[in-house]
Amino acid sequence: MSEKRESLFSKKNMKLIKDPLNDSNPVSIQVLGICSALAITIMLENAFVMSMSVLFVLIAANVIVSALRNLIPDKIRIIAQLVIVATLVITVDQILKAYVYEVSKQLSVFVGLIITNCIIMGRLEAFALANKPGPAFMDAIGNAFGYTWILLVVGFVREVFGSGSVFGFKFIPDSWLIDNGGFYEHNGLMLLSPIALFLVATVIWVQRSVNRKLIEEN
Amino acid sequence: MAVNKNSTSYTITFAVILVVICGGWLAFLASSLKVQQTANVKNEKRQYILSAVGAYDIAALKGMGQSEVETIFNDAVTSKILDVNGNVIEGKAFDIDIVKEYKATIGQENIRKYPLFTYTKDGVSKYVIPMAGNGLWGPVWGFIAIDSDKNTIADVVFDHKSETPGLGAKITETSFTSLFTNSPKHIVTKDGIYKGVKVVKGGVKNPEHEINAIAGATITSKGVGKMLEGGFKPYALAWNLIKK
Repeated sequence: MSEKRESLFSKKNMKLIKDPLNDSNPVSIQVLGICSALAITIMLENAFVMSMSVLFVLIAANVIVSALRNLIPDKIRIIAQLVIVATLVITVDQILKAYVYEVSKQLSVFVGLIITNCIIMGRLEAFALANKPGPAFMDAIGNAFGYTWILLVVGFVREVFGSGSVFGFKFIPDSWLIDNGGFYEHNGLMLLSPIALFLVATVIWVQRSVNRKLIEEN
Repeated sequence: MAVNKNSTSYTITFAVILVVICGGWLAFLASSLKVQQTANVKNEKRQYILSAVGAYDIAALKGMGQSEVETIFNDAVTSKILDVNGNVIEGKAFDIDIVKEYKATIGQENIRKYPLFTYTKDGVSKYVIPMAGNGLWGPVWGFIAIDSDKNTIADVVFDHKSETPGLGAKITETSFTSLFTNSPKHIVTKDGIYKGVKVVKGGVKNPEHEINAIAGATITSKGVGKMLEGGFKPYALAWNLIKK
């Protein structure tokens, strides 16, 4: 840490946002947070609300843990982080239930499961505990959006091919469906969790084809 | 700094303070949002009942304010509670959480409370029967509207806690609910024999009392079917459709 006060938007800090979007993406490179990527990407709307919830929890947790980093005893640091994350997650859950009741019903248990999202604990351990709140804030934004864009891509593909429409906009006209005398049937596999693994793998493949420095030697 | 961060007393003190702060915050949050959350649940119930009787479109109801929905509801809907034999018993039907009520009285139908809502407009009454059952992952429930003849199903609204989107969750969609209305479904046969409504796989044989299950969502469909098969009985008794 340099003694000089660093701007929040310095080159170094901006790198904290950019890296997780691509070079060190939490989902496609570090393969964290896969469980929720499987579970809530059936519909784009759920994926979006989930992403925003993770964004909030990750930013708040990163900043709080970073602010407390000199106070948290080493021996119980994981538990302390868990308590903070759990508190934030329940906060999100309660607020969703009170103000966006419909969405909270759709997400049901998955909001609670943000607690188990490895990205959050991973960032707290790897970054927040060793850095000031400013950079921790940037790191949280970067990682949350790194998670978000993958979720949105997977959610989009799954909803278009699984249900035929996104946010109420029909990509597959009803007249194409076999039920209506057409030739097309929604792909049931898209509605099941395993397909998300294939889709995440496809994202990883495409990403590495474009960004060749990510390909491991040998 | 004088404080030893690795000492046991520091660790315990830190843990206690952290937990007290977090716990206090959550208690404050939960109690301050409680009113809003309960209002949401009640509002949803009113919306379901009003849309089941066909009074309003569900989308229109969702666009209304909660107080507006409440006024409409209180003006047009009356309620009572029945026991398993169809006798009226004391209590406020609207306050019964149907999922909890069904769950708490599994195997003890004789003490179960059966709410009945009556929607009256221009002298014509329709009836709404709430029901609950088990889906694949959690409870499923519904509001079944009965026409003024007390035997024909007018419309249905289903909901669920955590059925699979695209499969079991389809019970809430018109592709499933329209099966109840595109040909008349009856609770009781012409000869006064109780039949309920069955959800069957592989083809409907008795279109007055059966509907098709959702392909790929057998367990959810069965859950709905089980709920519909027996659930009407107390009401049929109350309406003297079948002999006690």
